[in-house]
Amino acid sequence: MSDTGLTFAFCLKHKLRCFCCLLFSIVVLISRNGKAEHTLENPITEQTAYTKHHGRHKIGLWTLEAAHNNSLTFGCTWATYFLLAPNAHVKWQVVRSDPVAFGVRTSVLTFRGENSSSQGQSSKVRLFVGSLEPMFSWRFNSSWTLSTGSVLTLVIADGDISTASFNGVAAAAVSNVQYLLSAEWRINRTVAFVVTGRYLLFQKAQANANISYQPDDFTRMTLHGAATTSSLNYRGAGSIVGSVHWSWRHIDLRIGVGYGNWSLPLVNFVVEKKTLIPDLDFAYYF
Amino acid sequence: MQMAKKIVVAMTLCTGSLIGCLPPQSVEEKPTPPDMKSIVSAFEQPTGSVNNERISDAIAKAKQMAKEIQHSSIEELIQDALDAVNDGLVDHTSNTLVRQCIDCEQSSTTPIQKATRTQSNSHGIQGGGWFEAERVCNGWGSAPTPEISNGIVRLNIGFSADGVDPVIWGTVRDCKYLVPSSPAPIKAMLDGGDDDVAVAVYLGQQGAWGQMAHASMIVRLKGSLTLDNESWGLDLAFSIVPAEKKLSVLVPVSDGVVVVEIQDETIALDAKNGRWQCDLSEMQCMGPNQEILELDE
Repeated sequence: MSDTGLTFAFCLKHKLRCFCCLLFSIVVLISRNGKAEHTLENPITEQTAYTKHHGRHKIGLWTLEAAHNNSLTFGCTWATYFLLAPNAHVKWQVVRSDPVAFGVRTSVLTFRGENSSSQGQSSKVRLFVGSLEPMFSWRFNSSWTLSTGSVLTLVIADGDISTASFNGVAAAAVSNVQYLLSAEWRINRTVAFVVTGRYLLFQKAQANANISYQPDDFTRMTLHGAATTSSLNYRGAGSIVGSVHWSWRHIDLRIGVGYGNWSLPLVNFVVEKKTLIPDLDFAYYF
Repeated sequence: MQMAKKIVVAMTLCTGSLIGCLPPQSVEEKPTPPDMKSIVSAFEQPTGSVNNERISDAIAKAKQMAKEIQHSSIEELIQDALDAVNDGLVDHTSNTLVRQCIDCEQSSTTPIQKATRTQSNSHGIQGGGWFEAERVCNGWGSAPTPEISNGIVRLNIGFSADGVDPVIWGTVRDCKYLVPSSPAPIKAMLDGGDDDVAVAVYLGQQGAWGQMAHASMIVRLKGSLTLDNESWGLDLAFSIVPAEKKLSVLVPVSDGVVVVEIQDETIALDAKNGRWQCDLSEMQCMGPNQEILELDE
């Protein structure tokens, strides 16, 4: 009996396992008709130390990227531009000496908002997000790559507000560090399974404010305050996401799902509640 | 070696750019309150003693101080300022950022969090700051008017995640107000001069928001008081218990200080040699061991 026949016989006993086996089979079948792309020259770059080779530019569901050379890629998340929040990221494959590589990715996002009303109220807010992701990758063999690193993120918001009752300025910052571990199993040259784990090492916030207000005609109060809180430092916060990554000559597709404390994209803020985490990306390379 | 250099350069550039974008650290440093320890300590453990030679003089000085405080309505002036500050801190409209900040400090989300609340509060918030409160005095007009020419009382109220700091302090500049009197109100003016600490109020251990004006307090006041063109210097330390309408003053004696407590028509005196209850109709005071000290006429 062929392997396929044995597989189906086994699955008849266990429905869930049957579904997984069926899914696995579909994944492999899809890949058989694709051109080979999970190669040394074209590795997966998400959560790894690698960059795409020179000339391989990307139009993705979320990002646009251009490989300046074999070790430097520039890009941005295009959707935020519609929200008037420009951003950019740079990934530098600092060193690659197979089977190991070390790379660093850094990103910046800014936002400015202003609001004023006919009643003389006005407010301004500025947002800055910066992140740094050093990553180390180790390609064991033609099937396995292990990557590890961390994500350091800083979110700063400040603003000033002026109303009939009070005016003032305030600033707040949230910083966090997450640990990343990613395992890539290349089924064949088109399909890879990727499991990515994140763990929150710390997350904290600090804020300060200077606010003046007049509770009555005789009294004026000015607040000078500053505070930090560790209540965002959720213990045991982490997530694990499993994805299937298809790679053809011009198209990459990644679909996956995970569970845990979601790290919000772009700001990398880890939320307290554990939920399902979707993973979806589509990209066209030219 | 080349690889190591590249790694170092990469990390340095990226880390430096992130650090350069850090937000400004906390606002200007919280001002240091005046040291009230010696005054508080004196109220708790008077250093002076009384005997037949000193007790009459001590009570006379206390009565003069109480008269100055009561006739000049200084007690009411301070409580009025604290009431206004209290309202500004707690009772102001709920949609202000400050009220929301206070509410977020005070509220605990679950009964378990309330029950296990630690000293540093249930939200794990560390920090604090201070309020600068400016209160324009009422003036000498028939109705209070918020004009700068009426003088200003400025108070600094420090706070942390645990509540209001024990000492509030500030300045008094040519504060004009009316003292109720018959047949006509008395024009009073209190001035702290150039002293940055003309008034200091000790509230006890860190208190909760909303209770400042009604808490027991020890007041230190330096400056000058003018009542209907008659001026004199002030250098007072007194304690108020609003709920009991009790006023205590710190009176210097030859070997230290004693505390004279005046409540309605009764006078009590706390000294190093015990607590003395005084009966002015009998012109004598009785000590802890039933000994009697005679008061001068």
